[in-house]
Amino acid sequence: MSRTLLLFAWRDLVRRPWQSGLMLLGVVLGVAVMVSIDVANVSARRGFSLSTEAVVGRATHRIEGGPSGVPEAFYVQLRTLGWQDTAPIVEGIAIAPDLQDRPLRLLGIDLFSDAVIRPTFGLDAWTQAGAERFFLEPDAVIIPAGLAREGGLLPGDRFRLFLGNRVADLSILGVWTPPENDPSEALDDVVWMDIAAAQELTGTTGRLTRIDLIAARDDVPGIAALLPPGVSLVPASQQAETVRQLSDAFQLNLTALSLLALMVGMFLIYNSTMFHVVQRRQILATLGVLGAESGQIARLILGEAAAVATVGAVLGLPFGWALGQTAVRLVTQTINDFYFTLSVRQAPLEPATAAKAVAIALGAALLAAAGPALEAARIPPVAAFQRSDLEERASRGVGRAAGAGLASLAAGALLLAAAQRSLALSLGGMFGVLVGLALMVPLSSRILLLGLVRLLPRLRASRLRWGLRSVVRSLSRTSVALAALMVALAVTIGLGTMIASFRQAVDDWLDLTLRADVYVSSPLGSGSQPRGDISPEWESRLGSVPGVARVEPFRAAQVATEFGPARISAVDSYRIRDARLYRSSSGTAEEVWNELRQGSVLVSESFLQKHGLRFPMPPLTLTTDRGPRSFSVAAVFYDYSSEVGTVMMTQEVYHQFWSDRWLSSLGVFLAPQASFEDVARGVRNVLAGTGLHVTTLGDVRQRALAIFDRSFEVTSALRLLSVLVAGVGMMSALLALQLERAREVATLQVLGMTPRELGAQILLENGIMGVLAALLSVPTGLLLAWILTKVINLRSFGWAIPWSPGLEPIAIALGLSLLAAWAAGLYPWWRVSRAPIAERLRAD
Amino acid sequence: MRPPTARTVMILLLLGLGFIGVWLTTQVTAVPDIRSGEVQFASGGVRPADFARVTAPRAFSFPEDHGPHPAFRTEWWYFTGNLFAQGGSHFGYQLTLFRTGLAPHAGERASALATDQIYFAHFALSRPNGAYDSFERYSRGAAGLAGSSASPPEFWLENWSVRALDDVGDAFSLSASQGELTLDLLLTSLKPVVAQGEAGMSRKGPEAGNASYYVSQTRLATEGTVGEGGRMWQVEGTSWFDHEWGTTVLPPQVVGWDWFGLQLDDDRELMLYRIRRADGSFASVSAGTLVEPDGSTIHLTAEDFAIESTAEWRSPRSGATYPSGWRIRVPTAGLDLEVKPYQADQEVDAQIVYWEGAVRVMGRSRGAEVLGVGFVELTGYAEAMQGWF
Amino acid sequence: MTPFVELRHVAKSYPQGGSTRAVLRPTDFSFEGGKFYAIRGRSGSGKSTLLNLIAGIDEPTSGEVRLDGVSLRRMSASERAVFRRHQVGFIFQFFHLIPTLTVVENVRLPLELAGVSGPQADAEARERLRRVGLEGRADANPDRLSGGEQQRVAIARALANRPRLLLADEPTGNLDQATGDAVLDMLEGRVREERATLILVTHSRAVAARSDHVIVIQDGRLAPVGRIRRGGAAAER
Repeated sequence: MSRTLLLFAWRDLVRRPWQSGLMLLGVVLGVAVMVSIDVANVSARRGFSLSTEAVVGRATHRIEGGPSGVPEAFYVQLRTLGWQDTAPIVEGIAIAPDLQDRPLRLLGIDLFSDAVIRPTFGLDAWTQAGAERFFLEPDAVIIPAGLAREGGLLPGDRFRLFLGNRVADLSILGVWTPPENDPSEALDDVVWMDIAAAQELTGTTGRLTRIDLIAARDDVPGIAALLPPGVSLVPASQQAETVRQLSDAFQLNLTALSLLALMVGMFLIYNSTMFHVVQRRQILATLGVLGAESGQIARLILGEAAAVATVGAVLGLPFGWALGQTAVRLVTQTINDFYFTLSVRQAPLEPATAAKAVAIALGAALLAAAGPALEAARIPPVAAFQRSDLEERASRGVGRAAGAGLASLAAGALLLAAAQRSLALSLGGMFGVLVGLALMVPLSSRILLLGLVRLLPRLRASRLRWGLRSVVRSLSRTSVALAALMVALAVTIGLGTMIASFRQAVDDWLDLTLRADVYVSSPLGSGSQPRGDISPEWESRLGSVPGVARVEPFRAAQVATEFGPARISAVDSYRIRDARLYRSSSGTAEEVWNELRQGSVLVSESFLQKHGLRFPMPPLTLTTDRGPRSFSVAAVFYDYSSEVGTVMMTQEVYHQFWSDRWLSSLGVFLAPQASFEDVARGVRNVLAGTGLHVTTLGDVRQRALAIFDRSFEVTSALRLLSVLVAGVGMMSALLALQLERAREVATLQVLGMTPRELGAQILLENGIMGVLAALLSVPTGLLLAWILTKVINLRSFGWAIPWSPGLEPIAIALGLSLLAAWAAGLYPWWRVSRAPIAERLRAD
Repeated sequence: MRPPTARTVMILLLLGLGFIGVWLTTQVTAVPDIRSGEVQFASGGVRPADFARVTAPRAFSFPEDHGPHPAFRTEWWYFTGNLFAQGGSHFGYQLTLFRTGLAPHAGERASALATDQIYFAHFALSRPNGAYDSFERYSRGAAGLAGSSASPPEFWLENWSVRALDDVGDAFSLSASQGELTLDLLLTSLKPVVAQGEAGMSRKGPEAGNASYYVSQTRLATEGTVGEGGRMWQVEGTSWFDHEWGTTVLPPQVVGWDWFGLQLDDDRELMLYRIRRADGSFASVSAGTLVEPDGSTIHLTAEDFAIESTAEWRSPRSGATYPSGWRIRVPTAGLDLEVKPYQADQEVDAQIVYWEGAVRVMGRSRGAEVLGVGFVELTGYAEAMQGWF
Repeated sequence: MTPFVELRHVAKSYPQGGSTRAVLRPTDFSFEGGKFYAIRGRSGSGKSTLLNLIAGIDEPTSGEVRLDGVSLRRMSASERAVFRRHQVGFIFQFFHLIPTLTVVENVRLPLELAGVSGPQADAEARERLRRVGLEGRADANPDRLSGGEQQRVAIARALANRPRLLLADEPTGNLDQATGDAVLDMLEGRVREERATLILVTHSRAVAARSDHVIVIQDGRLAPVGRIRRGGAAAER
């Protein structure tokens, strides 16, 4: 390529610093968003698989029981029968109050058998002086070096853990340093204890949480034949797989969102490149006259786009990484709230992520620039000097884009309908709809504006009319940016509406389910997962507090169903639940509850959805401590607390089939004349020193909603970022337009327009653009919200949410849109009043 | 012309982005250099001094003394034997159960898994085809996983077990399996329990308390089966059962010991041990016992016997060089014996690496030709035994 | 008669490379009201700069421009704009019509800026177009017009508010002889009928011949070269 031609391209980029800068900024932001989500997802995933690896070790299977686990005698039986590669585990979730309430996993292990399954300690550990205390002292723990560093803890220090309804005062016997080249960060949230001590601490003497084992395929039948009732042998990967799938849905949603941000960024590159070409039509045509081949010109355009994309991507990487640090915190928090305990200590920028981001940015930029490049190569030198030719081409493009849009819309709708339960396909369908509507923006905006122009003579608002005309004329240049902004705003409205609808649904549901005045729970229930065990004796102890009318016990536990794991909610049988709690039922609320009292169960909507079931359904088989049992299903109830699906039954039924007597929480109802303060104080006094939380109805509700809001923080942040990207795009388009009109504006000044009047005109025109984008985005956004609530959410989480559009997201979209449009007018306005008119008249 | 400010702003912006980028990437905290997976334990804990010490001979009573003596820190039950299948092919076996007390008196605990006793066991089998395998297991002495008792005498770690067939411990059923290997034996004692050393007290060092109680059944008629994969051999032969307990600490300079337990076909048994120092010399506390056909014993001191190595073998795994053949003379007993391993590699590959192997004996006893079998134990060749005992 | 446009020590220079290039050296000059001035000079001699300085769309490096006795330097940007909208009509060589407005809207724009309300402005704009013979193209887009038509629209736009000062920068430079003559007739008509002042930059000797005064800019200085009688021949050196 000719050196002068390259020089021309370079000078051109430098000569338009604002446009080039904004184009660059668009790429930087798009890449940063994509990278940040990728960093967060990859780190969370790596954290997950590290912790899985670290915990599962070489185990191929695990033997697990119902809520009360596996009898330890079974482990002894296995060992004495010669099953060597088995390791018993007593696991508890604990909270470290001195480490910012950090959730920790208490792992009760047998040092010797564990060494066979996991490389954590090895047999060497026990030969060291001091190791004997691990067995002897019921309060001795070993903590990982990461945790020790974080808490400033040293061997010999004491530290406290909240466990269920007790506070354990533990002594740090040792600090475990992971082997070199293995950061083992996944184990930073683990506290090891001797299995006997862990049994005593968690009140599960005689029981094990599970037995990990290495078993060849041939061994499985032999072991399975030995299993006592309620105990099952499952592949080690199964549980990991279940949680992985759950969080995959969450992460897929995030990835889709980040791709959206990138898509908006690509619109931006396309728009900027197109603008760049259109503005230089004459120069490019002159190059053609001078003998530049069309291929050379096309390569020049593509080269420019590639250069900007590369620089933008490289600059975007560190920002993406930095954003990723925040994103990973939010993602981890949500995973901890809803799925499992995960600690991600490091979120490095993986080379793969960086390469992917640069490649996608580069590819998309080239793709985006391909159209303009072809366009530039095809400009007949004569036509280049006529604006009308450009306009004609533009209006032909409008029709074609609308046609393509319609096709994409139809394809998206078809995909949505055909996707069944596949989340990825559903997201693809949603993208199809969105892209389709975006492609129709040039046509719909034209129709909208021309309609307004027709209406306006009667209004005699000539400035407005002039502004509208101006906007219509500029659509050939701005419609791509308009479409990008429309998409971003629609996503904002869509997600905003979805979140608001969701929140409303959760709020209503909390109203239905939270009825007690005071709740007693373990401090571990930080997320939606009730964790930690409360001794059943508290039911009667709390009942004797003066002013307490009734105490409702509640137990949540994990059980195996014929369809896979589910959560059991064992509730009191006394209080008949509200009919609105049921999505479908076999009778009235009273009839349903009577069936429940007689041994039926209820299943949650998410359970139904997750397993593709329909109500009424045949009896459900649950693995009980007495072996598999069938339960008839009386109704389907709404439940936003678990994605795994919940099975509800009465405490009586639960106790009949399971030996677990622990409680997860207790609801305290006040007597009619009792004073709330007195009872709350009474309950607190009774519970003093236990570490149990006493929360009022309002607090519980607030906390639930706070978790809800927290889990959507990433989404909200992403949605704002994509609006930011689109805003930058809109700004760059409008700015370019204004700069292109520099001479026109100068002419107006010669004609006697004051800077103030011109400023008002710029604001008016940009304002029209902003309002237009907002107007176009409202129906798209609401449609998006509908798809999100009715399709995507249902398919990712199994929760159907009523679609309830509100004004707030729309108002926010309008505000953001106007902000972007007006921000784009600031520099031109500043120029109008500063730079000498004569200079601008001469400018090209 | 454009206002220069715009270009300046862009350049500054780009520079700023670049610098911030560089700054951000340098903020990745370096992963500190860490040693390989190890636990740093808090100081303090149980000292051997808290356990009882062996300071004087005592009378033994059985079956009580077959059982555990938790007041002492260390205890082991050692079964070794030479077995022959039809046609004379030779098997050597070892099944040892070690007990380590963590504390002499632990408190009551709610969990059945709680323990103050750690057991570990070694099981080794040499086969006629020259194959040799050794295995090691660890377990807490709780919930029936591993343990020992006196009435009836039983010593086990999971499915490696020795259980008395009577109340006194004159006959045992020994059973162990690991992978494809199985061993099922019936052991019948042909002689009374022998109190080794000075009336049952075996000195490890000159200072008081650094000794153990040591009793043996030196000749147990053995029959049973050895299995490997699908194959099964009917075997018979003789076994040797040592039971030793104490709270010993190896004196400084001592790296290990050599132990010989030989069963001669003139119905005598010879036990010899010598405490070996780092410089290759042997401590004067080295001693032995000669068991006569009627069960009477003669205590041998270091001056009474001479052991000289006649061959060496270097372990390809541990790199340790062991003596691999001996000439043993006990002039007072009229013994001049050549001792050779059935196979060179009988190194136990466990946390403590040592050599414990079946040997054949040829020589003269009181002038007559004598043959025999036995076991030799060589410790401290791969690494010093300091800290273990 | 008081001068309508007065240059007092007006100088203009532009930065060029490391130094500056003087386009106008300190100049004193007065333009009388109601007269037609033709400015001539080589390319780059500063003709357009002079016009821009008088229109107040460029600022002198030193000295001041006074219009109707008021110094432009004392006016704010807004005040200058308001002055221009009422008193000054500017005609460009390349027409500078607003492409997003129709022909009639281009003419209506200065009327509306001067406060004439919608329907009246529309009527007046159409009247102006009729006078330049373009009433038939009133609702067309400017880029559909020929060069001559565009310049006539530009003149109609410049004359819309009956300005007292007309500034024309090569108004006929891009037009053929006949069209150029018609355009000049229109401009000159304003001077003769409404006593407006016309300052016109031209290369053409023929155009200059129609003026009252011909001024040549040479080496950054203004030099009057003679008085032209109405309709008479040039008395040029």
